[in-house]
Amino acid sequence: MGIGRIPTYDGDTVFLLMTDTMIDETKRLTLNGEPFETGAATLAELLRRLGIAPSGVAVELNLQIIKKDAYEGTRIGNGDSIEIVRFVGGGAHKD
Amino acid sequence: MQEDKLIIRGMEFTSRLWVGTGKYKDFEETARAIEASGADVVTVAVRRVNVFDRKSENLLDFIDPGKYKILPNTAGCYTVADALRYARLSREAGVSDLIKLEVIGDERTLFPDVIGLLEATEILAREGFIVFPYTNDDPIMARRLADAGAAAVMPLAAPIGSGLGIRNPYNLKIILEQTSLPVVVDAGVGTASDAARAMELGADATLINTAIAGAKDPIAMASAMKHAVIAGRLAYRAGRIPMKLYATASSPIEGML
Repeated sequence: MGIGRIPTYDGDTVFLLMTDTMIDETKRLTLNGEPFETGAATLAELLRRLGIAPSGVAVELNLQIIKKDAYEGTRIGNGDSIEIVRFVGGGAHKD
Repeated sequence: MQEDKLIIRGMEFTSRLWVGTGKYKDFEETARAIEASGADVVTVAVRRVNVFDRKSENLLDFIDPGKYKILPNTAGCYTVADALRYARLSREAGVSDLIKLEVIGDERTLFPDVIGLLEATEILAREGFIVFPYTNDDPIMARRLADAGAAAVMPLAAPIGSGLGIRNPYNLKIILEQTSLPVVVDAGVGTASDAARAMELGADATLINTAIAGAKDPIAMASAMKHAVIAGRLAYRAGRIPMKLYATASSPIEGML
């Protein structure tokens, strides 16, 4: 929790009590197989922070593929496992 | 001759050469080779984004999905579960229901695990995927895959990357005779004559990756394959002469001194 200051229209100042849900809480999760920490609250926010555009990727949260239109509404939390994949070069070949 | 477009599930393609995108030096070379090949269909793999290197390039910035039909594959999948997972992810990442289905049975040969392949084909076809299964040269498997709902059959000519060409033209011919599905010969083509041979046998298309990307001059080889596929297809449609044990003279006897 913390205290924020917001100036009002008349010039007065209002002190605002900020609760947990309004501040970045660091979550420890697994991203693409590696431990990862983020303050992002949703998948959409995570992608934004990573600089990844939703088009051209697919996202899996705890083995469930999440549809793109659900990124904004999907919250992430401690212990979650996230996979972000995209298309790469690879034909009929040996890896 | 009449126009000869390749038509699969309502999609129309001018080129009968399909190409992969693996094993190139960089994305630029990949794009140039694909351009030189004249291919319409390009296969890609599905892998993790490099989240820690945001500067890493994106394949689809070099290969325009508006110009080429992108066909994602399940390369590297050895189980049905993996193949299904990758297929479903690729549908979400991309813009279509197309999937080139690989369920690999062995690391050294990269031969398909046909039992797993059949199971995965059935499941994905039911989920509305347009499935292109990479299979072996067994005509019975081709039949089973057709019954399972595959959109085409992709029998291997030889192991992936082996460059051995068509090892069993007789089985391939039988598959071509017995199936009503399009047949795309996939894997094992080594050089232009192999591609031409596949088309002369009657294949509807040929998918080539290593033979182009691994050539000393990939751009030149891409062009060679383009011409080989055109030549082979045209020869097939032109109707070749039969093979005979003995000669038949080309010139008349009449008028000889």
